[in-house]
Amino acid sequence: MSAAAPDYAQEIQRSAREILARTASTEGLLERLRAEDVSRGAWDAAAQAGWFRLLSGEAAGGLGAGPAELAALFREIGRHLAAGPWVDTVVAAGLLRDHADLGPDTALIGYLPEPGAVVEFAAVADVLVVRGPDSIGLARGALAMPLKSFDLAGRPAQVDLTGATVEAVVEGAEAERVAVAIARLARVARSGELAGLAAAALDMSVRYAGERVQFDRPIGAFQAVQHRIAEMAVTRTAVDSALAAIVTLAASEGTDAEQAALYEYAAGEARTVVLSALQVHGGIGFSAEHPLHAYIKRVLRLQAVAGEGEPLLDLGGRLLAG
Amino acid sequence: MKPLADRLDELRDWLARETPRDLPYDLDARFPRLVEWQRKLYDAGWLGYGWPAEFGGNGGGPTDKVILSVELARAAAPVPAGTIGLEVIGPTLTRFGTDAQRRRFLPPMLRGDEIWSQGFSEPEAGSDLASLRTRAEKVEGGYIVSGRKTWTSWGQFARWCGVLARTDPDVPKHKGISLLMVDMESEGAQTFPLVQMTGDAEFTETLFERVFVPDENLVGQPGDGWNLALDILAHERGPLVVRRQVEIAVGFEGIVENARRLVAAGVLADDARLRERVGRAWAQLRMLEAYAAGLMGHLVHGDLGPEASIGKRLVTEVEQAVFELGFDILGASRGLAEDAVPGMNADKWTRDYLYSRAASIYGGAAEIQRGIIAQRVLGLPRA
Repeated sequence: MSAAAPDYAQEIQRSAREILARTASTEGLLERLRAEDVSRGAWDAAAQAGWFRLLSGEAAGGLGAGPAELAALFREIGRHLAAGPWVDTVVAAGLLRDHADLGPDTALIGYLPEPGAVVEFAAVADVLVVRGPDSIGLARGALAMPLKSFDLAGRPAQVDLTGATVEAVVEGAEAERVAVAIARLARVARSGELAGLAAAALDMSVRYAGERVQFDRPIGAFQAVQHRIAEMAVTRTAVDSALAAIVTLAASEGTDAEQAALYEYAAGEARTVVLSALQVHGGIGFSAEHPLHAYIKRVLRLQAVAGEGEPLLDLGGRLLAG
Repeated sequence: MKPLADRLDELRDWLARETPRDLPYDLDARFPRLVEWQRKLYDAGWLGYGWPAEFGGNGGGPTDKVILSVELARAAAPVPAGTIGLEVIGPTLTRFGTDAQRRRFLPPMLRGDEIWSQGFSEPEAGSDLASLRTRAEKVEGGYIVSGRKTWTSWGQFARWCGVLARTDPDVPKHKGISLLMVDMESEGAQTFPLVQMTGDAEFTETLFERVFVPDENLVGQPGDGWNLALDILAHERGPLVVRRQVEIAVGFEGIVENARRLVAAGVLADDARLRERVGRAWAQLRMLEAYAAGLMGHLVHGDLGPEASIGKRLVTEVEQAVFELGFDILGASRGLAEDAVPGMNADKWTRDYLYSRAASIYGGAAEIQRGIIAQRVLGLPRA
């Protein structure tokens, strides 16, 4: 899928880290998330850096990158908790720009993979892309009804297509191919985000355990706390490695069932990491004034949004059937 | 000599043809066959990869040994008899031994003519290895070694034992330890089989009563022992993860096959609980496979430090989950050494399950690994 050089992903990661540190700093994270739905500074810088054409072909002015680069980018988005319709805009729109004019790079895109699905940021999206039975099209006049959420970095909404018109931009077999690619790469992106969130939670915990003093010493000097944080590092590595496996499957056209199962596994492990971070932080981590809860709720939502069916159970059933 | 990585097809064909399939379970009968197997691997030119050409090897890069062990695991071929020599003592001699030591010890070690064991743990020094009590007293021309070692893998078959002994009792405990190569045919060296909970006796207790060891059998300098031991343990963790990951994957295939057999026989329900566990074990293995692929890069560059402990924890977690599944599906036959359903192999899966419980104890217990990760990888303060 990707013809990019192996260190291209590292370059993307470096550049993303630099841009997001500047435009979506985690200093004052909660103020930023409360002040704006979409992290605008980061969004505009992303458009400038070409992130929204990361997956587009060169004919559409894109970078033609693949799943490894996508994973690297989303790991940084997760680490910085940058808010916005990143997955739909980078992945769905990125792939569709080869087929249709979706407006300026800064456009906020929502993607409705099936009727009734919850779409993040649909209420503020400039363009709503809809997967129909035989096509992918752009919807006009759709009604997006925001759903309140505990997650501070996503703005979920339900989409009502009654009375909307949909203009098909890809049809037939090609539409099916693009929809499958979107689903696979969206899983790569969300796994990357999970890995970034888990990494951030681990870093915060190591730092806090070194600073917080109880019984006259930093709590990180206590073996009970050390062992918990060490296991967080182990589980964080499991998330990273599951991400690598998800990237490999996306690049090798591995089956959807396998990729979905690995996503469920990765999300469960990321959840373990952020919940351990809460335990390390104790009472302050449970307080709304501390940013940790934003990471926790984001992980819980990411676990839920791709939780269609029970992929691990289904895959086990397939393996047993032989 | 062509690089091993370019001869994989040839190696796989060879293994498919030559791997012994009828090894007896009984260890005393099995061991000579494992020696024979090692000789065959060596004489066919496979075992020399990754070892210096001037000392009986074929040259080649640092990952060649790992490639070979992975292919052996994939072919479900037995591990050669001299594994402690090949994985622990040999690499140490290659890096830290003298030319004379390498010339003397490496060729017979590779060919399986001399089997090695490793005398590190003691009854009173397990996790706290630096507290070991075995003494090596300096005398004219060598050392007199006295003490007791335990959990000595393959001790009863070993001609040589790499022994950690205290050469200087007057300095801090980590600094007074040396690594000596002890000839187990020496007067005063004895082994006693130690039966494990699996019923096998892979280990021995090893007793040294005033055993003389000549100066030329000291590895490195006096007092280097602790650092050599840390280096050995860190270096064996990476390759262990890569090889073990394949062995667990092969085990998992057997478990799924067994589950189908048991479902067909009506003694196992193909329900949501079973499916979920099978799916989860599959995902854990794919995760571990991706981790091991990343590890290979570090093995090439030789830059794997304390973070190898993270790999040890991951592989242990997966191993224990997978073999627990293999055990649990036996249902009412769990713990039996004979089959209620033909082909269910309750003996093997019970043994594998019990053995998997040792994974969080050997090579540094899980608690030791967590301490290493917390302090040396993450930089948390020492207590």
